[in-house]
Amino acid sequence: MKHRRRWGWIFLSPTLVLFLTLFIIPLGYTFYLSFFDANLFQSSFVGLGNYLSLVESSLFRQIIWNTVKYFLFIVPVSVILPLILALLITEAPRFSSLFRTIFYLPVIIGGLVIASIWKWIFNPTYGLLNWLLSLVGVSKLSWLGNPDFSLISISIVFVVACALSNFTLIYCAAITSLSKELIEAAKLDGAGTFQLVKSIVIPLLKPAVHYIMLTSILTTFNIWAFPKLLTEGGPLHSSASFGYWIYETGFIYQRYGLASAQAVMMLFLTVGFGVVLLRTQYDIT
Amino acid sequence: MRKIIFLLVALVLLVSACKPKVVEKVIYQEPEKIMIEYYAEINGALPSYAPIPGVETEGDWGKYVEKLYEARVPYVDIVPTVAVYEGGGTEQLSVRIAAGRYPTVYEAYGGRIFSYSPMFLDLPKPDAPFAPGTLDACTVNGKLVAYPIGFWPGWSYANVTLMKAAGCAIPTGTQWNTDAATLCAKKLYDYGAYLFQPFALKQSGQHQHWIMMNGGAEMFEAGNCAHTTWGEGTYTERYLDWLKSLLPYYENNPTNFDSEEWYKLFISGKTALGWWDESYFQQSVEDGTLKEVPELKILAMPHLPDVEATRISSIVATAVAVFEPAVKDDERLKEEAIKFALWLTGPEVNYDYHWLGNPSARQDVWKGNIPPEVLKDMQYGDFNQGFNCGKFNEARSIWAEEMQAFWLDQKTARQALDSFVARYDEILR
Repeated sequence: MKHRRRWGWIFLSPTLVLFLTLFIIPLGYTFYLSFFDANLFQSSFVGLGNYLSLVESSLFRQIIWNTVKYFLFIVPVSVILPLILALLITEAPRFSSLFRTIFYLPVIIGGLVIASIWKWIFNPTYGLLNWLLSLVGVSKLSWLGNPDFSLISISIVFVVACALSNFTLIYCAAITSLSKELIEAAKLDGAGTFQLVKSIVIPLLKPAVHYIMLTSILTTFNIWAFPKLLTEGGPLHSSASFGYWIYETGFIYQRYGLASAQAVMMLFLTVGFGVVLLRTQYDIT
Repeated sequence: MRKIIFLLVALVLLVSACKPKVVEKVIYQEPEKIMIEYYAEINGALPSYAPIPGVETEGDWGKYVEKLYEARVPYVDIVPTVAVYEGGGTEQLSVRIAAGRYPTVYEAYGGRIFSYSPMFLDLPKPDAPFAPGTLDACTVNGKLVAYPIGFWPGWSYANVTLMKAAGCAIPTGTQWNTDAATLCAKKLYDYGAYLFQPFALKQSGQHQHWIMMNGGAEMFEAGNCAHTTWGEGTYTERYLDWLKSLLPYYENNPTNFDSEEWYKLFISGKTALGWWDESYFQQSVEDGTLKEVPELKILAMPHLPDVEATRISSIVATAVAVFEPAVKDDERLKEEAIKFALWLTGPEVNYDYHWLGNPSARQDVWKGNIPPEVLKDMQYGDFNQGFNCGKFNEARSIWAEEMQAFWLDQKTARQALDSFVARYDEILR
């Protein structure tokens, strides 16, 4: 037994070394740095100063509020819409491969290209969206330049470009792995499509639903690429996510201690959400 | 006896003269190779200012410099790293420095380079003929932290063809006032084009506007980075209000507009003022957007009617520095790095570094290709004191945020300016 255990550790060691150096040590260092007022030139211990200044700042409250808004715009749509699409795709097996390919395209073409396309779609003067709206008499809107619309616009991009593609495929995989016997039995018992989906498919898809819910919740904190590429978190931080805020503090303002404190706060918040969600999942299943 | 002595002396001299000479063999020992890491942050403007065969991309520039210098100084091994400034170059260098991996020689955009001033070597004052004011603009607390390569005098190119087509009066010189500019903006708008497009999206070169806005030079107390002021704030405030009065005639609200979009508008003949020279229009001609390259003219930003002229507050556009931690334990490396840095400013490598945005800082590079108007109108301003205080990225972000508040009517020009000064002051302390 001891011999086997030793070999187990030997086989695990490369992964453990990588995990330690690339994850645990940086995490520990971030935590350590969060107690310092540190930039490229100097570093001084400030205790909980960074945390206190964060809590007191109005920007922190705005970022939390932005996160809540991202949560409200992204999570429900990301959980429900891909499910509906996946159900439709699996109901049409002849076109299933085609649709899967189409939905997966955004993942292949990459965030920068997607952002460029959406920047054109949102352009107030010659963008597609305003042109379509002008056909029904709606006047020009500044989708990315107006604080009232910037966060919604980024949520739309995220849902269309990321959530629909990834999550639809996850649902498709989950649906195709469902027990065919069970579905056949329900059909033989006279269950209609709606009843089948409601009573058989959705309950069996709960692990997938929970996974997607957890992933999309974490995304609402971490969403970075689209705020960075489309709005730089603006105007007036109206579209800045927690992740973008950390980037801005660390790499634009070069305040590494404060950015570390923000990262630690985000860590606790996301872990908290994750734990609550996982506990709910275990309670249900 | 005397004869004997004379003969002996003559004999000795003869013998010594006939003695085979010991030829001192001069052994040329090639100096030991020395490696200089050359880290350049290029702002994507390379193909325009350096139309050098084989230099198409930023990466080619590094190789070009390496080849040129190594041919000149064979014992120096140049190892170039070229980062695109707007493409993540900022983050790359910060991460490297945080890890203690300093490049030896660092060339970057002026505002950017001074962020690292405390880490730079105090460079010896060169004999090279630098343009007046340029070396002072690279001096921080009495320390010459960088050699200037190019400066930026805050001008615009005006698309005269477009302005004429819209019915605008073309200023005879380089100066014009805001009344004429407003009239032209309206005419251009009716024609389906725009005079100008301010922008307030972060990291988009907003600083140029700040300098253009005729208050930039006074924003800092000369030589004192710890206090900022808004010396001619009233003028700047009024200037901002004038820019805002043109809002109906812009293509887009500045809050979500960046220089890239402005560039597209300019080279496609949709905006009258821009920073890009004739070479950029060639692309529009090739893709059929324009029939021919338009006639361009240099114009200052318009000044308010109650002053004589726009003050041109120049800034150091590009500069080169030596990281002290990279050379501190090696005197020879330090010496060679300084030589290389100085060479980077000179004619051999900068012969075409003359486009409007970046006239060369060295007069021996000028070949009569600096527009005389640029030199003449420099008298209206001076080098921006305080740009070398550093914290440029931070300043630019704060400026963008304050301008967003201004454009969205959440702050008046005065409030935005005061808030900018207070916030910038805080990060300079």
